[in-house]
Amino acid sequence: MMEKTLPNKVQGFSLIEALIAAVIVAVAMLGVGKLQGITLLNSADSRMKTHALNLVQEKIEALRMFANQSTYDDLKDGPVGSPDLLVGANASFTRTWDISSCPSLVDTSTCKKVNVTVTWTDPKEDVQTVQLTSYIAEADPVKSGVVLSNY
Amino acid sequence: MIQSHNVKTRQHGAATLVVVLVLAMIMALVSITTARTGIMEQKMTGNDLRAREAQEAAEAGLEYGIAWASKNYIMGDVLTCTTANEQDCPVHSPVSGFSTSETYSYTLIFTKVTVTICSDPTYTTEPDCVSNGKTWESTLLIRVQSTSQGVTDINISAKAETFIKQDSFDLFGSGTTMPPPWVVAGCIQSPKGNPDIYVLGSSSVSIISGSSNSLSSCLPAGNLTITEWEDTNGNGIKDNSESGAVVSPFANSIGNFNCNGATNCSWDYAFNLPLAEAKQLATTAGHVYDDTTSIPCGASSSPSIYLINDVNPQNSGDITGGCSADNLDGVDDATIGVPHEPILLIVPASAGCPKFNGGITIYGIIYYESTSACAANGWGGATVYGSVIWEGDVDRPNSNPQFIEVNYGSGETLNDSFHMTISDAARLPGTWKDF
Repeated sequence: MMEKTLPNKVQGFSLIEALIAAVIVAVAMLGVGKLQGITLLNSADSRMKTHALNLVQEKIEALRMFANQSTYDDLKDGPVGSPDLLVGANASFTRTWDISSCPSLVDTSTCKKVNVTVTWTDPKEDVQTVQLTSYIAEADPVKSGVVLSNY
Repeated sequence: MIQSHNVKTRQHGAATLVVVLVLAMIMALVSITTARTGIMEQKMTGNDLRAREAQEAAEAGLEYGIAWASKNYIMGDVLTCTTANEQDCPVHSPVSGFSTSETYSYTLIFTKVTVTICSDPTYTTEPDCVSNGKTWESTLLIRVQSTSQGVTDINISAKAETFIKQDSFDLFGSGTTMPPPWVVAGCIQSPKGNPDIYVLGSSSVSIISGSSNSLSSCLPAGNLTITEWEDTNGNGIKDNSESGAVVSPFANSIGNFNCNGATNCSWDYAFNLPLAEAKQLATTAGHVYDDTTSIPCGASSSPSIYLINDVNPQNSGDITGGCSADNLDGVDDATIGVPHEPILLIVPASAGCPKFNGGITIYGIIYYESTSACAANGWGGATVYGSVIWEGDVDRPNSNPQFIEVNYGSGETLNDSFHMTISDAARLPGTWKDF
């Protein structure tokens, strides 16, 4: 007798246990899901930042590679005309740059300060910005060639 | 029996819970790992951003240094410039990072590097070069190193360096060395007193005249003694132990250059840069001295050319500054120039022929533009490490002057020792590197 009723009792307990277990798992899943979402968003943010940084540096290098003295003298804020739009993985980037003379140099025609900025809108609809600052000296590659020809 | 069953039941339920908990823990672990990866990624991006900012700041410093060096002479063999804004350095301006709100300061180090190359680039080795009739000559390069460092976080740092070639006004032409101790366009009167000329070798030219090499009529030896000396310790000063054998006066020591009445003949013999341009450089740099402004003692800023607009004799009282405090060998308050950093003193025709009197030591060259003034006005007692150049006849030197021949190299090296004004600079392709 005893032995017959007991298993029933156990089965009843099992159901509740299973329900509780399911609830716990669900709550845990919820937390994990939330965390996963945040992580995903953040890593997307990181990726875009890296991408933007690359675009910024690319522009600085491009500006550094001026052809000759007159292109150097003509360096001006950009972009001129249509905006410099660049499509990334999951955002489109806008690039701008401004050129001024280096601070505290007596002869300002030989050194320019470059600020390159890339902005984009992240999934949270916030505008993000990455900017790098560097200087560019007026060292005409033509003169380098002349010097090199003596070696 | 019942009790044992009860225990079994409880254990059975607890087992489910334990399994669920373990499951939840595994899930937590997995999500934490993912989160950590995400955080790591963010850290990497942040680091990358800072590193690139620092790198750009280092390069900004490098470019700033190049821009500055394309217009300014670099004093000394190594010039280190930090935020302290040292003397002879470019004014420092830190680079601000926008994205991390960090500010970067940079240290610039300019190092002079002498490289020997063939005048024809086809030949890369000295024997090859010389055997093909080309000259194996030294050229001066500048290594510019820039190290950026975060102002608030001093652990962020980046380096960049490149070689540049400075282009200066060529006071001396390629391959030209210091002129002989005396360069006279005309002739001299028989020297009185105890004037001495020290030459670097028995074959060195001690006096050169632009009109005649006749010993009796144009370049009489008089009381002049010519002695050999060698700067064995390389300090640029004739120490007591460094003078050698007496060279028989003038033997093997008269060269000749033919003036034939040309204007500025002696100048053109010794220098490559036109006289008017040299005067202009001195004037632009503010190196003009007359009877109200005294000549500063010691080394000169770039360019080492002084314009002496003073008809009066120059005594130790006409020299200002406390150079003896520098404790530099061979330099006191009455010294113009320092060893290995000579100065060219130009006395324009309008100032006539002021004597440089005893007690003064001059490292460099004195040039008298006047063709006539010195014929009646010889030379004071000053000691000259270098040369004196006259455009006309010269009266006898009296008292006890010393004229000492020095070797400051040739061409570019010599121009560098005179701190010649820099007109431009070019990067050397292929020498850029970062760390």
